[in-house]
Amino acid sequence: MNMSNSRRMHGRATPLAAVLGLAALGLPAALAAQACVGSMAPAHGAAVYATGGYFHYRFSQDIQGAQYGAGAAIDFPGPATLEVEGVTRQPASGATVFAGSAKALIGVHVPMVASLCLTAGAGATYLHDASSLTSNTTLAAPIGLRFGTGIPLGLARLEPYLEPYVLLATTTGTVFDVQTSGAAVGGGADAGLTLRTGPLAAGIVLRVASIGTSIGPSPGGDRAVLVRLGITF
Amino acid sequence: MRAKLVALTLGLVLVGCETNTTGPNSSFYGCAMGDATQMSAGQVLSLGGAGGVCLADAGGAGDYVIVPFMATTPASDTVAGAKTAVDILAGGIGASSGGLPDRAPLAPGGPPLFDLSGQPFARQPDEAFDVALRRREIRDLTGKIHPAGPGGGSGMRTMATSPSAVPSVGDLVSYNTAAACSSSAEDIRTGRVRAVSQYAIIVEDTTDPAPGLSQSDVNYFAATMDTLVYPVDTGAFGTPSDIDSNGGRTIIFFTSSVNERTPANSQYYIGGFFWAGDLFPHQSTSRLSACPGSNEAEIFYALAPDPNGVINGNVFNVDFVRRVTVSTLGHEFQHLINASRRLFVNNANVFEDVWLNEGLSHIAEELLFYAAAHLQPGLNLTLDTLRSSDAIRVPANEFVVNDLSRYISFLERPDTASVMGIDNLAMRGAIWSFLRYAADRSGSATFFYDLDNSTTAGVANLRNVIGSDPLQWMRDWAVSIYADDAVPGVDPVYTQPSWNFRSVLPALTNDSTFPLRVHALSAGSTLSFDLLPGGTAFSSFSLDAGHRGVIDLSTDAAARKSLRGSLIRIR
Repeated sequence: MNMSNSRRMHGRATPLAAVLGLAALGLPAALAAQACVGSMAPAHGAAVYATGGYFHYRFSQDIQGAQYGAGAAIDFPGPATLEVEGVTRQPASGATVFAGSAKALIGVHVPMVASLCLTAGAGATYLHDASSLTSNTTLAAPIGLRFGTGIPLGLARLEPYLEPYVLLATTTGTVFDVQTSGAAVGGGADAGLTLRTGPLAAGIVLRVASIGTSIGPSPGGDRAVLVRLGITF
Repeated sequence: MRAKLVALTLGLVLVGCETNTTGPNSSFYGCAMGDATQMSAGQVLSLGGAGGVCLADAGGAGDYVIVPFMATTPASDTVAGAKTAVDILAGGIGASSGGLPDRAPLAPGGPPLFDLSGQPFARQPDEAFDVALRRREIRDLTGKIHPAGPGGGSGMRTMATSPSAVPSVGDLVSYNTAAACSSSAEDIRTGRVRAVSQYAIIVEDTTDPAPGLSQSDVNYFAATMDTLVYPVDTGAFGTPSDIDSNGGRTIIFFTSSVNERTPANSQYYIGGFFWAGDLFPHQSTSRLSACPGSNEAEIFYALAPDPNGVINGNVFNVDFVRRVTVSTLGHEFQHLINASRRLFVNNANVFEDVWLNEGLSHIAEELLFYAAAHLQPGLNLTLDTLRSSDAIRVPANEFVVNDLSRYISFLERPDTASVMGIDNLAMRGAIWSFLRYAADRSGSATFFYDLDNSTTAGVANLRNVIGSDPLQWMRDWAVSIYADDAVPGVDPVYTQPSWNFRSVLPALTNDSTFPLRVHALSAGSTLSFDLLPGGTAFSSFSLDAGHRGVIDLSTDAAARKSLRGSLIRIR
């Protein structure tokens, strides 16, 4: 029998090659500015919104429940878009999960592609549960591409999009008073629909992601549905 | 172009996906955010395969014991190298205050220190010799068994070439004591018939040390065979063959050949033996190939009194021989019954596996105790009961204390032993205890008879008799090792109705404690075990009121399906 006095929990990191593969995309040299679709913010405008919906984590047991929060988006000339969002999640144990994320979108025009944006973000999740002596932070960085299009509907504009991404994540903290650390690479995809009309904006996002279970709860969740309602400026 | 980009991006995403769904992290995070199980005192939770369990206190602090069991079958009776690593990692727990203390073995590999009278324990029989014989039987004799033809198995067979006369007292007879088929290895000893009783022929080697057996001793062994050993063993296992047509009698040959097998200055002794080769013919038959060294008889070889230590300096006075021989006869008689009924009644083509065969013989010893003490199984015997009178204490010391000592050997280090497979003192104690548990649980009056009268061996034999997965019963038995007479309110399948080991066993140890080795589990520490097939371990911990805890049981991927954990809330 062997006994160790303490044990750090390490996640299993996937090779970074998958992420670096993005660099091998070989985007055409003749790229032109292209507005990114799907943002709550209109072109050269901004938006603030409330959000809520469902989340799910896949650990040794399925963790799911409601989440709610707020966000903001700003579309800069260029075009570049910045989106920030924060939510709180309430799992069954009574633990608290705070998740915040920021994402930058750089729009480019690719021949034959109506709208393509490079997306890069950073997110953090803080998990806290007093009864299990748990205090854990997970950092994640999604890097992806957003494909979408804009559909005029009278005065309104409907923007469906699909955004696959690669996700890099690390964890540190304690869970049940056991020190944890780890890193992992995963991936996911958001499918979204944004509707803007006048000063109002609404959106829905369906998310599927996998980052494994060797790190803490990721900012986005393994499955999620987010409904957003806001006003634009 | 768009389709290619989407496909490439999705491909990168999929490559990056990690699908690890097990491991402590998953259990720990799952428990921190998910549902927790609340257990009541006495409840046993099955942890199927590897995985985590998330606990919350139910009405105050609780103490728990986790019991992993490796539900695999040994490939043979020598399973060294077949160990499986099992890790237990816990979070949110504390050291158990209600469980057994984490203690070191009392005497590594050694026997208990006292008998039930509080006297220093005599040296034990050398069971390695017995095991070597059983292994040689399987290795050398199994190939001599041929499938029975049509009509086989209709009853006892008598060999045409066997002598059929019942000898008379005073006759001189010769037997090969070499326990080998080879004629070149013969060790022929001449003996004088000292008694012929209903079921025994007592023969004494003419070369035994003086003064030899008195007539009183001879009468004692003959009468004990007739009134105790024969009825008990045949009642439990069936009647042996009678290949020498001597009226169903068994020859008990007290021979210095047995004494010679105990080395000088040994802490152990060889008390006697049976060898299945003696059931084989000199001339091949359609059923059995020839074994020239066979005595073609149902025969035991017993220890001769040697009060002066003439042979190898080992002193065996007649009182010692009287005390140990009857137990040995009961043990060896089961081997005889098992082998002879397989060969001549049940038409089996295999001998019983060594571990199960030895377990049944230790059951035979226990059955002798019940009969001699006028008790029966199911009484949850305590130390007070065993010491209540000489009528119980004496047969307990004579017949069952060896079984208890072997069980102690197992309890001292269950994580390095097994209930089956490799043969050692610990295994014998474990399989004896398991067979008693299984017989009590089955409620069948023919449980041991059914095991002896089988054409299969080992786990397959157990499966046929139990009627379900014996490995699951072994897992339940493992729980009962801790729970019986210690945890109120447990399901009856986790009890051992015949023995209150918590009461009895401390009297046999030098620190007067229950000898089960229980490891203390603490938060953040990994307990690692290398479990044999059929191996188990015990770890205790506590959970404070208002807290939740997580226990993660893990092993390698190939063994996950075989790891059956149990969690007991002991209070």
